[in-house]
Amino acid sequence: MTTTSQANPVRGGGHRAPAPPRAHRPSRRSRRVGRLTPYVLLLPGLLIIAGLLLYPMYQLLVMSTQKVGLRQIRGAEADSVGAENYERILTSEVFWSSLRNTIVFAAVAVTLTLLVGTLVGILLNKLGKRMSTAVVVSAMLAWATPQAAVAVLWRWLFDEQSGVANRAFDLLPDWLSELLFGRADWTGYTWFLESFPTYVVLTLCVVWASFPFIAVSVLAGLRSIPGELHEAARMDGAGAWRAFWRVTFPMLRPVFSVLVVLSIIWDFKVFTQLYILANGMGNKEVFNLSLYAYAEAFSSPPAMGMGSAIAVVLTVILLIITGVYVRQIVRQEEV
Amino acid sequence: MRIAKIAAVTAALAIGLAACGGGSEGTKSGGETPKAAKPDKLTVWRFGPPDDKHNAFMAEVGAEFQQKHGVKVEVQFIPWPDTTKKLQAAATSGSGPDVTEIGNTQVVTWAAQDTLVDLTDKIAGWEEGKQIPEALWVNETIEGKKYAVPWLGGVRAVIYRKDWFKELGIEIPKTWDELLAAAKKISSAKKGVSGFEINGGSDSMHAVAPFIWGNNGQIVANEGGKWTGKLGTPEAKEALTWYTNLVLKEKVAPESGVTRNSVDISRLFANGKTAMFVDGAWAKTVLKEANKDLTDDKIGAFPLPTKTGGVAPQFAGGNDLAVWKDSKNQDLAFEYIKLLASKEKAAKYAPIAGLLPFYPDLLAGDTYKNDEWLGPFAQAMPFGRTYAVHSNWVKAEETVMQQLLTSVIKGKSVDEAAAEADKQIDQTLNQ
Repeated sequence: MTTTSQANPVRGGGHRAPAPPRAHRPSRRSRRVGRLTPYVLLLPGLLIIAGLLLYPMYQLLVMSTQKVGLRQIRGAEADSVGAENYERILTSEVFWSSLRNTIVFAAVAVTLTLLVGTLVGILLNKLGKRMSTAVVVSAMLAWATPQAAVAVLWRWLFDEQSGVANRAFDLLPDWLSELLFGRADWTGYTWFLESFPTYVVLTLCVVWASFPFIAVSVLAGLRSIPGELHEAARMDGAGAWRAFWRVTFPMLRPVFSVLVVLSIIWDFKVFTQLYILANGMGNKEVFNLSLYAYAEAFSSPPAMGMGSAIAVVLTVILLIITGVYVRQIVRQEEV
Repeated sequence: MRIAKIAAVTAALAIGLAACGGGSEGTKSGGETPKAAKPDKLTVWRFGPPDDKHNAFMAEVGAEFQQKHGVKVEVQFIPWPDTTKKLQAAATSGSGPDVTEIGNTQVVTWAAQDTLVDLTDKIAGWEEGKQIPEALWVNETIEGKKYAVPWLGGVRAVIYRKDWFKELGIEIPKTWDELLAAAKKISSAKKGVSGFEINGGSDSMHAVAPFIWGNNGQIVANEGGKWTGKLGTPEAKEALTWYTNLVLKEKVAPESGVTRNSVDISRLFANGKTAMFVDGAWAKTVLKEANKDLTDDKIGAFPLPTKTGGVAPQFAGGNDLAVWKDSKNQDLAFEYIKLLASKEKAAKYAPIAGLLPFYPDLLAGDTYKNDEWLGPFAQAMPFGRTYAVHSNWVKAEETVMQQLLTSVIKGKSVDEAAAEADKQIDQTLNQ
């Protein structure tokens, strides 16, 4: 996170000195060139984004208003169906349950990821050099593991017959297990049948793999906070809790803002892990929007128009959430 | 200020990536012209795991074809679960095979998407093919045109542990009651073994259908040109109740069964965790490969009984052969199909593949009926049935039964689940 190193260490109290004046006044011509330079530099990136992102997105929008099957992909003219695809998904039960799954999952997973990540980040800041390296390296291993491998791993852990999770729950005293989960016998308990247990495992799987990134980012932020600030807070009699909310959190707010937005985006469009945990597309109850879009677009016979419409809805929701959030950040910063 | 901007830009970029993830469906290859296949090579796609026996047979046919037509044949095996994706990719990119194997219920789907060649005229000129009874061309004929050749058929039966039946003194079940009694006996005698495994996976339709048909029930029916689901009829519901009660009431199968397809179940069977399950004769090779100790005196098969006694109708599965529309050598491709689907080759390959030929005189002989392994499957062959010949049927076939079983096992009533399934079938078939 490059942003953390930019954090102004004295915000909220001190006064920053103005930037030093430039050494010499530039000529008019070089000023014009200077004004154009950023745009010229942006051009290659923009071209790539336009080719790889904007055009496909435009296609997605067009396809979401058409009936597109294999025949159309093979060159036949696609018929426009207007808003029919949207009408059909909005009236389908699967869409609403997918939407619910997507949003609830994102809310829970983002909260947990940030919470665990921050706590581990703070822990890392407190640990000695050797210990903190050990923790960072082991946490990073989880982060670096490919999503597919992570999902397979968790599926095995929660396997109904030989999974370690069911064994472990079985070892709990019956009364405790009954009290906590409402069941004492865990032999053969199937985790991937209903949406709630499936999403419990999915949450574990996603949080486990994504908290290290948060932890390391928070650590980098913490390292940039001058020690005097905490010292001063301690002198004024603030405890650890108070010091976190009054000193650390405001200082790290920009870091958190970025992390929240990134996590929301990542958790909204989780696909790989769910696809593997749910073992394909047979159980519609566990669909989230990404899996729903995929199932419509790529099962046989393919309905790519429907799939596109769902993808558009997902993108719009994400744009709205992120847009509102980013605006808020910008406003806060401007005040 | 600066941080805010960086945050905003980062977020914008991340959204871009998000949109990318959601939007990858947007890529479209347009109207690409199919690439010309090399005229000196014919590409054939086969479905299933390639093993030595299959390869040897295909090589033999290939050599014969090359001798006759001077063209080399290249055979590629595709695992069953990947076939849809692979064919879809071939259709999109235009780089498909010349000849492809195809499941008989898939023919209508792929023909409707304009990926298979209309073979009506070619078939009309194929003398040997006329021996295949017209009634067996139902799945291949769409609006009077034939799009594929039925090659070999497969029906399912109950595959069971012969040695355990002998050990516990169980007779071959002739009715549902006897089947249940056998399952119970094994479940209670052997710890950790399910007596009769239920299939709730992607191919559960084929496993449950014979129970419904065996109770004089229906799954779908064509009423005045419109296909409607029939799972809500009393006969079908009775069968569904019996089937799900194996888990809910009788406890001879675990509830996790509803997440397994026949491939998963055969793995359990190979590991000695299951005494009986419904699958085709082709499963034997897989079972034996997974567990070398499963010798012929340990695995057997018997036809699935109807409720009151008799052989239950089975889904008439068929492995068909079709010519891919993008093929540049369509005539040659059909020549190859004629050779592969000839009586001689069918007779030779059927026992290797665990399938049955469609030529009546081959079936009529005692070769199959007396075969200890294929016999029980051959018995069910005359009772073969199919579902709806409709381009969207595959979609219903792969999800409806799975969804129905899952919701019943989770506590929904059979009435409600069956009504929902019928609604799904109606929606899928009348889109």
